[in-house]
Amino acid sequence: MFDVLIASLPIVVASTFLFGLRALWITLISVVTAMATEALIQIFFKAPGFRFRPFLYNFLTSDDITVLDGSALATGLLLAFTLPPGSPFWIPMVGAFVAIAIGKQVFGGIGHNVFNPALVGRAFLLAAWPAQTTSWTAPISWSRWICLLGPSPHSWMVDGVSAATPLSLLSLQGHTTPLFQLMVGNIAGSLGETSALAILLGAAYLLYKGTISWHIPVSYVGAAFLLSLVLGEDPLFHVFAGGLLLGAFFMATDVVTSPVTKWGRILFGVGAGVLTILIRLFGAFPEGVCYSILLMNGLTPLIDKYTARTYQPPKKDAITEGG
Amino acid sequence: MDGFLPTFIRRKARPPFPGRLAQEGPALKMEIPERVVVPLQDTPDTPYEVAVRAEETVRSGQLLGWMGKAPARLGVHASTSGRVDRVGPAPHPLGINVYSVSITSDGNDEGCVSSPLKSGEAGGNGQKAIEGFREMGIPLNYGLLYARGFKVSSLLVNATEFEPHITSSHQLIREFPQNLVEGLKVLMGACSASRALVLLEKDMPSLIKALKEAGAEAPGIVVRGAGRPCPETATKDFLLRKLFSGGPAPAEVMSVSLSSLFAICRAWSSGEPFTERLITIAGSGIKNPQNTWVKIGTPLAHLIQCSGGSLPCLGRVAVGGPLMGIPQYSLEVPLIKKARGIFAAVAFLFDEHRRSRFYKRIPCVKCAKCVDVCPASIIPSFIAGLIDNKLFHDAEQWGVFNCIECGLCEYVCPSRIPLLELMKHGKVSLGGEGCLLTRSNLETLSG
Repeated sequence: MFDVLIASLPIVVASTFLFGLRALWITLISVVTAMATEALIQIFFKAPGFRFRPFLYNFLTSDDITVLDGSALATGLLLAFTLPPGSPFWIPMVGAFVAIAIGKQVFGGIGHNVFNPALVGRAFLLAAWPAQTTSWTAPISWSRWICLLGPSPHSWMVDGVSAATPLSLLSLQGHTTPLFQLMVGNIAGSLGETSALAILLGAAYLLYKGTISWHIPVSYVGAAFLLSLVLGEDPLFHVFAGGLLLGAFFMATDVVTSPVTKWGRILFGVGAGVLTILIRLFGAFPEGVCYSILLMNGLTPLIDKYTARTYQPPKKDAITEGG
Repeated sequence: MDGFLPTFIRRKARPPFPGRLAQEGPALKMEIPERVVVPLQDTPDTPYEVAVRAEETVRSGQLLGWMGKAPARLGVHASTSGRVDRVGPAPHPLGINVYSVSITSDGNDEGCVSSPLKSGEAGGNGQKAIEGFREMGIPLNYGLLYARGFKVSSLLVNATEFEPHITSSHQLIREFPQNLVEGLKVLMGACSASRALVLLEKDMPSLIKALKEAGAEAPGIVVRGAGRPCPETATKDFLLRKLFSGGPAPAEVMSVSLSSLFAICRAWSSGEPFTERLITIAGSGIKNPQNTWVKIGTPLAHLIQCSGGSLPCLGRVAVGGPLMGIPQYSLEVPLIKKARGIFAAVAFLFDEHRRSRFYKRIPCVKCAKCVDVCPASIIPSFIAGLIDNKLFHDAEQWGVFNCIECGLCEYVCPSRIPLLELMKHGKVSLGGEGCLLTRSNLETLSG
């Protein structure tokens, strides 16, 4: 799970660069809350007979407390990447708590959850506080950076110019953004989705290490590309705008919630890509990644069942009987 | 350093090779152990006969008894000279306790007079020859030969090495190609086989060349390069079908191991029984990984200590290699005839049950690394989950018997789930201990 941490570093750097130190704070709060929630839930509900006296030793050597495996860290990071930079600090806190407690621990802990925990947190925040989670600010300019590096927290607040993300620009005003801006990330958006370059760097690392396999991202992006092409939209815009790249490489590839077989993964990616474009073009939301991945997560056990092979027991005949 | 590093640093699909051969030079010879335990059974139910008593003095190569019942019996010989300490149950790598002969060695290793097989009545072919080899303690597949009337059409020698770090087969080929080919020719004569196929990895051209040159005047011997190493557990099912399915009589193929060929050559030319074999001792717990000649029946503790391992640090000692080896509870078990290597891995942070806390098991994260790496195309994590919950019938339907027990799934699992152990548990619960492929490979009596 620490692979995801290393792969997220370019994104964290890019988001801090674009949106200031507040981005780093949001990320940190989200991560710390996620890990603290998981630790507390496991101490109180999963570890029977946990002794509080030699706390650190018992914490590190208990069989049931698995906070240090890095999955809560990854969930906190990914949740932070879906939040706008101007969110008040209680948003990542509540979101991380819901993501871990309801998105993961209630199902039974790591390996047992059906839905991607970070996206569960995100969907919860979107439904409960739609205003705070969809008010975007523009990236800060160079001259502001000097002021923002001041010592007191007041200077870290982005009194930012509120701006619209490329997708909301498209859906509400029909205005497209140039491709270069989409790639580098000098646009408004959530913390992790703006800089495609950083996402691709992190994804390249994950693919190299073998943590994710290429089937899901390629089929996701490919299906989104083809469907938007067929429907008459600019396909490259749809691939680079919004959280599609982040979703394809980091969210949809979450191992617990994606299918196990190769063809299952391809089906999963195609389904998620198709749903993303449909929600974006015909649904009420400007961004469809979150819900499309959650819907496909729900279908994962079914996909697993129908893409697995049926097995014949090995034939017993003269060749094998001779031994 | 196979056990140390955390998941995100290592864990490619196979453990890394430390260079192709553990050493460049010739194989070493291990010093004679203080005690040798020679098993007379493979499992606690195998029949046996004993020919010595306690307190008797024996010489190296002397017959101690037989494994199995005549005519399908296998001779068991003393590996070193000394005094018989005890004849009774002792630990065994495959079973719990089997009837064994413990010999306290006197350090001299005096041999006894023996006559080479080629001059005796065992010379020639057919049943007498095969039984002569088995009396010398060489494991050959008696069941298959008996069923075919001691005539097979082809022999298969799987000289590829699936386990990383274990290089004893290649060392044998490097040093003694003539002996191996000689043994192969003798065996071909004994079972009237017209051809023999030797499989080696394609990326070892020098070994292929050495074997081809040694077998140049024997027209039936074919040496072929294989693209990927094939585990011997898959030999019977997969390899035989693939290689011989187009040929004339695919059922009449017997597979032999390289060490048996070497032992046949030795028995043929000088009459020495199978008391010594070349193994690799490797692993992160071994300071000096080496290929050595060791006596059959040497306790594992002696082997590990002589190659520089220190016993308290070891987390897992397997008879075999890192992937398919059978992990041991006790290091007093003897080395058996068909083991090709010993693999000792270190671990640390032991808890009170002597399991390593660093590698504790967490629930399956469904990362599907096991699925990606499985050569038999089953879903190990799912089957292991079924077996954990005792749904053995469902496990059978999901393909537990297609597993060839190669151990790759257990190696790549980031959650450290003992997948291979669970698959074996499932097989045993469904079909008994005889279904285990890794076990039947190490059984001496059935060859």
